[in-house]
Amino acid sequence: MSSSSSSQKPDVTLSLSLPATDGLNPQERGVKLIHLLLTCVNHVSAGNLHHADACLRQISRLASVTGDPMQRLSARFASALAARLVKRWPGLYKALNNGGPVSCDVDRARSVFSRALPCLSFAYAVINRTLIQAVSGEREIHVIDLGSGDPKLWVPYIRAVADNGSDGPPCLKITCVSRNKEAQESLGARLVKEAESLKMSFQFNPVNAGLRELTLDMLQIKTGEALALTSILGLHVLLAEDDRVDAHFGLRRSNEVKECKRMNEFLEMVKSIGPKAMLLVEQESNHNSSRLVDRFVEGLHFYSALFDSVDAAFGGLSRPDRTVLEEMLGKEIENIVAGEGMEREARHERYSMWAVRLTRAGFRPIRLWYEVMEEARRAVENYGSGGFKIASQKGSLMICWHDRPIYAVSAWNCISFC
Amino acid sequence: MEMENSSQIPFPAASGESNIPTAGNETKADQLAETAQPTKKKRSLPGMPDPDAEVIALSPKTLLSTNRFVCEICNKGFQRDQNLQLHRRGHNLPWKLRQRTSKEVRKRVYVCPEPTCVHHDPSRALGDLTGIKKHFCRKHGEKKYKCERCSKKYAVHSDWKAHMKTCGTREYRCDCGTLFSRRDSFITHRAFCDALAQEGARTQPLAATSSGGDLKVQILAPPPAASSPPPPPLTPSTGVLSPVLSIQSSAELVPENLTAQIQSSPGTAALSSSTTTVTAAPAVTTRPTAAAVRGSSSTSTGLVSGSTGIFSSIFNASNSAELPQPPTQPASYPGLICAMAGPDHQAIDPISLSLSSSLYGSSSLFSAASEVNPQLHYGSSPQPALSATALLQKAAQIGATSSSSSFLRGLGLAMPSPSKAQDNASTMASATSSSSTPLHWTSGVKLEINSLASGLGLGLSSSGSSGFNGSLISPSTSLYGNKPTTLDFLGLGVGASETSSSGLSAFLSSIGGGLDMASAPLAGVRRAGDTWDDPVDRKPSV
Repeated sequence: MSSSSSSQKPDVTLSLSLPATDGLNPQERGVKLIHLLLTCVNHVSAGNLHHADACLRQISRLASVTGDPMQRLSARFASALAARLVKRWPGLYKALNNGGPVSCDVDRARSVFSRALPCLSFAYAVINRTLIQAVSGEREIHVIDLGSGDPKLWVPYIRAVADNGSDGPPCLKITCVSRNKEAQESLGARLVKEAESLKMSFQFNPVNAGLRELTLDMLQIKTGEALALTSILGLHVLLAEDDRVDAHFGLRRSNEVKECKRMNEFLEMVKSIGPKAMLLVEQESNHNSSRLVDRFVEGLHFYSALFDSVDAAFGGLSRPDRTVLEEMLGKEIENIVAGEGMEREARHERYSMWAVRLTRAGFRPIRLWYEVMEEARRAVENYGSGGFKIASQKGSLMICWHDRPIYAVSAWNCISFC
Repeated sequence: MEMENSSQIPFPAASGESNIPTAGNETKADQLAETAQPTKKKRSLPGMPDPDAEVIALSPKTLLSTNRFVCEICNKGFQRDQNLQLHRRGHNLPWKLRQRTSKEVRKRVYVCPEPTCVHHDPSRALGDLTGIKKHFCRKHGEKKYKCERCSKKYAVHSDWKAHMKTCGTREYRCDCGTLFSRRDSFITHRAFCDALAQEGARTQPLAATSSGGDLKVQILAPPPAASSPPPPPLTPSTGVLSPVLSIQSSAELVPENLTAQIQSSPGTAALSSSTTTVTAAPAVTTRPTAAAVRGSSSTSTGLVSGSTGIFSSIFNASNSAELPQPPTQPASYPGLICAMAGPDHQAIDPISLSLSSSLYGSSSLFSAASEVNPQLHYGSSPQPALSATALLQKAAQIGATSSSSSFLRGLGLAMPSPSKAQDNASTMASATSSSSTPLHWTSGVKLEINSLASGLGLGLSSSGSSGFNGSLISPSTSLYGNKPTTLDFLGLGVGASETSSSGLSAFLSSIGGGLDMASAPLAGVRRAGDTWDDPVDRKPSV
């Protein structure tokens, strides 16, 4: 031990004296980046601007958006930290961003995401099967899509509905709630076409609103319909509230489920329409802690898994698609790290916390059928070069990247008087 | 009982009248008398046997025996004759306590009767009777005591008891699966662990350098930490910020020393030297899954709070040295107490430990909550070492041994020069020019921000400090009355100028993340207990 360390001592002193980042192999660089990031977030959290800046300077030397996953991850996180620092001067921030947040092509990013990674496909498969099971035998089905608008989910669903109906396909109505008008229109057109080819009675109902503004009358619920809702990576925005004061002066345990008024109202509303099923897909990570450092560390773990999976999916190559996808992830990261209060909409929470929320609101989990899981598992594990796994946890199915769960799918219905 | 004659051993001291005592009792009595003396015997240095010492060889039976002195009335056994005699008094039997022989004390050394043993040689004799007894039991005796948890067997009762104290309390696990209770053995093992070498070899062509690098990263921290250079001298300077900055920069080194020192002596002395008034500490503790942390993680989290309490309390302390804030909050003190009272744990770098605690925390949360899953054992995934998740895991495991301490220095976080307020503009300029090269993302922007920010921070802090303190104190509880110190450093004066326009929201947003630390001291305090009565009462998390 002593001999090896003494022989290595010269190396270390060398690297200490030079502010050198050259000569670091990727692994060392990665570890160094992690430490730099953690140091930086501690400084940011404590308000030490200059030290945080020093860290960022170092990080920017080592990180890059076109490098190995750790470098990319660090680049995005450092960018988020820098955004947070700049936000202390709102004028500066606004001027830099030309009066509005930098837009990235979310649609394209989402489509790359669903293509490159099996996460969404997995979720869609589960949702598909579960919906079919939940409303089987019904003649009038009304499905409300809260924010997804992805044809990859709905086209197969329509087909499945058509297949499953006894005495011909049932009447299907799909309501899509989304802010993105074009996506809605294109989805509508596609679905209508599909339904026509299947000779199904189909109605597409686009609602151009966000979740926050959604009201019952927008949904146009008719009595006698079998209702189902799906929310894919979107429900957490309802958790955003003006808690900046609370974040500063209050303190809650980070894994304590904080009551959120808006969310409760929404869940009450959902309960009142008595759906047969509500499908929920969310990120499996707690990014809703009021403390920055907690969010940061959780985010590091979560997005490191994601970035690794993206790297595996693209084979380590740098492509425009990949950049777009990583930009979208970077936007999420920035929202988590740099955002506060109402603007921080990326309030992901773990399934266990969602379970508490939904249970408190009067929902109960639906068991996701075994066959769903088996089929999905096979599909996912054979996807690409592997690395994904399916796990189940207390009523939710999770897709994991090498033992780290990243997305959780669960199904709920409300107890009694539905 | 038999006593072997040690005179056959050609040892100079082997001659002598008391060498072959007639009765073992006498020898024992002599020794007992010796040990009863108030003067403590110093331990002699190993390998330098006293040439005048008397070499005694006791038989195995003698060494292994306990309670050789038996009362004839009640058959109660005693280890020493003195004790038996006292007991006999109770039976109204004649008793005699032997006095210590008036002869000059002769140092006695004992040899092990087992011929194959290295201590059989008088030059390797042991100096203590208890020592030789324990040695004989351990090496040549039967292991009668067993640890419940780890099934380790011991021959000596006191060894076993000592082990039971530490078994399972603190564990280090190497990637290859070996568990260690001692940090030094863990580090040694990791240096040579096959598993790590294999991993390095598998993923990188430069296997040697990678594992070497790994080693570098892991092993070297203890030596640097132990022999860390003194913090850069705090050059006196007149600006409001500069001493703060330079103290801060040195403060970052100091925790290294401090936390190392805390191991040896309760760090009050060290801490008091570096803190003038201890004010509310922005202890940057991480409690991502603090409530869910179980087992060993909980102790590590505790240590995080403690050490980070010191870490950041120094920042604040130095800050407060500048600004006249009443030290109303013994805020960091509990954190300090915690760290001091804290275990004889090593100086775990708060940063990495935060990572590790969240790592363990998240995994334990997960595994605790999950019902089915053997597959969800976090951390056992065979990923290529380059992947970000693997690196995070590694960084967390490396913990304090790591690079973090050497990194912190290497990071130049301690650089006093760039931190000096007056030179700020110039150094920022030079820094920006030097760092202008690889900014892959938003180029230029950051540089401008830096200089602007520093300028703003500098310019407005001094003016804004006094005026702003008032406004800061009013909305907050007295608990946070000291927050302005660090906030002003940030140039919250900027916020002050904007306060008129945008009011509380601007104020809040400019505090922004800065006041994240506001929650942090409570976190640190919580761990330390309930010594802090703040208006916002929070129960310690489980």
